[in-house]
Formats: sequence, C-alpha cells, structure tokens
Amino acid sequence: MERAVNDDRDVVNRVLAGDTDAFALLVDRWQIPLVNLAWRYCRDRGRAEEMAQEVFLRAWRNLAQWRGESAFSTWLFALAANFYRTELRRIPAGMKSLDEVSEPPDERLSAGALDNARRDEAIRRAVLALPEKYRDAVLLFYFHDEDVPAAARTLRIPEGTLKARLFRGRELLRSKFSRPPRAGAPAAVAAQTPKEAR
Amino acid sequence: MTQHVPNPNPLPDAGIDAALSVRDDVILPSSGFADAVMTAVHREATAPAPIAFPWKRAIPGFVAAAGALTFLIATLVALFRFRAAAATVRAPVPQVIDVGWFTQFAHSHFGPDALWVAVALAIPLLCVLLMRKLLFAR
Repeated sequence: MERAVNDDRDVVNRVLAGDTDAFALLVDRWQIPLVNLAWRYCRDRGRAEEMAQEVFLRAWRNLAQWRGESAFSTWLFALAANFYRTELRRIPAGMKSLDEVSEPPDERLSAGALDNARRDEAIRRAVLALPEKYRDAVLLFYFHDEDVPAAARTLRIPEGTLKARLFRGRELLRSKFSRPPRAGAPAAVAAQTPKEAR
Repeated sequence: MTQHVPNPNPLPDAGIDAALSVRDDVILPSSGFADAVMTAVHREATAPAPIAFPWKRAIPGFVAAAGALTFLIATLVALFRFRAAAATVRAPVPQVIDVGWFTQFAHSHFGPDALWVAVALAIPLLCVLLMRKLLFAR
C-alpha cells in the first residue's frame, strides 16, 4: 500500500517535470477503478469510458493541485465522483432500464420473486433513482468495498454523515423492493415513491 | 382501486450487499481505452497554451470606463439634486457643469438639454477612439 502511494508520487513528480508519457502509468493503474466507478453511476459501458477518460484528462490538467497530503487515489476518486455527479445532473442515467429489468406488474419485485441476477441488476439501477446524496453514499460505500472512511474521504464528508446517508439510502432501497407493485403499474414507478409504502 | 398486499419476502440487507458488492459488478475497460486517454493527453500537452487576457492593454480601458461611470453617476446625482431644489424653490437652476462659452452657446442656440446631448455623444466617441488606439497601437 505504502509502496503504491510512493509509486504514485514518483509518477506524478515525473509528469509534473514534463514527462507526459509517465502519465500512462497512472492510467494503467487506475483505469479499472475509474471506469467501474463511472459504470456504477451510469450503467452504460460507453458512457462510463467517456466519463473516465474525461476524469483522467482533468487529473492531468490539475495534477499540480495534488499536494500529497492524501493518497493519490483519494484525490483521484474525489475528482471522479465529483465529475460523475455533475455529469449525471447534466444527463441523468437512463432510468427506463429499471422498467426493462423489472418483473411484469402482476409479479412481486422481491428477493423471492426474481432470480438473483435480475434482482441484483434491478437493485443496482434502483440505486441510481435514489436522491443524489443517498445515491452517492451507497455507490461509494460499495465501490470502496464497504469501507466507510474511504467512502467518506472520497465524498469529502464526515464519516457520521456518510453513515447516516447510507442508512437512509439502504432504507429507501429496502422500502422500494419490499413494496409489491400496484396492479397495472410498472415496478419502476412504484419504486420511485418509497415514502408511500409506509 | 389499488391493493397493497404485505410482502412476504422483504429484501434483506444481505440482498442489497450482494447486489452492490464490487466483486459481482465489475467491467473491464475496452482494450483501446488507455491509448485513447493518452492520445487525448498528448493532444492537450502539445496544444498551444491559451492566450492570456491582455491585462496590460485592458487596464487603461477599465480605468477610462470607471472614470466615465463615476462622472455619469456624479452628474446624475447633481442633476436630481438641482431638480429637487428647483421644485421647492422657484429659482433659476444653476448649471451642473459650467463649461463657459459652450454652455451659453448651447443654451441660446439649442436649448437647455443640448449640453447633455453633447456629453452623451462625446462619451461613446471617446470610447471608440480609445478602443481604436488600444487595438491598433503597436
């Protein structure tokens, strides 16, 4: 871990000294996490790669702003999360997909009614329908392998705030998937009004 | 009429964890992704630096504009004060700006508003002249 941090620092120093090709080392090292974080935000492979590429470009432009106080990955993920959030405000992720993966209206969208793969995909897409602050908390918590401090650092919020948002986000998800859809209504519509379920 | 039937199988936390855990939801970037990023980086690295804003040339313009604005505001304030004074006391309205013979000439030949018309015309003219000087001066 420590070695990776030092490696990043060395590479960044080389890039800042004018060695543009050295940036390829950072791209190789961080492309999978950045593309996957983007993928979690939009569930669209092409768009995920475009967004990740833009993050790398922004990282390259603003590399001098990383002062080494935090790990390079923390800085990069914060930059990425901020950009992905802004992009999703500009062009939201396709929410129609939630309809596509939902069960027909007469079946229940629940753990027992769907096979695992379809249920998991429905949950992942449902996360995108959460209010922004809960969505970010949930996405980054799981992206960081359920590491609360890492997710909090990426979002630049206190851990307590992250935990509260995470709790609320999961609660919303549970309520979405615990509520049987109304007859004749698409599951996605039912999923977007969790408060009514109480 | 809608019927809400209690769900016998609410989604457990483990279901959310399983669905959202990193291990089960990973994609790999396409083979050309890193190359595309580096191409974009090299393109940006070799692009000419953006042209800096010409502060040196712009400062006289800003100063002139600020001066003109101050003059205009001061003139308007003075004008309103004199108008207010003239409304209460029937006295001859003194000249806001006394430019001697020009004021008298303008008053006698074109009426009391001629001075303001002249000032209003002179300001844009001065601006145009200043801009030309700043743009074409080498």
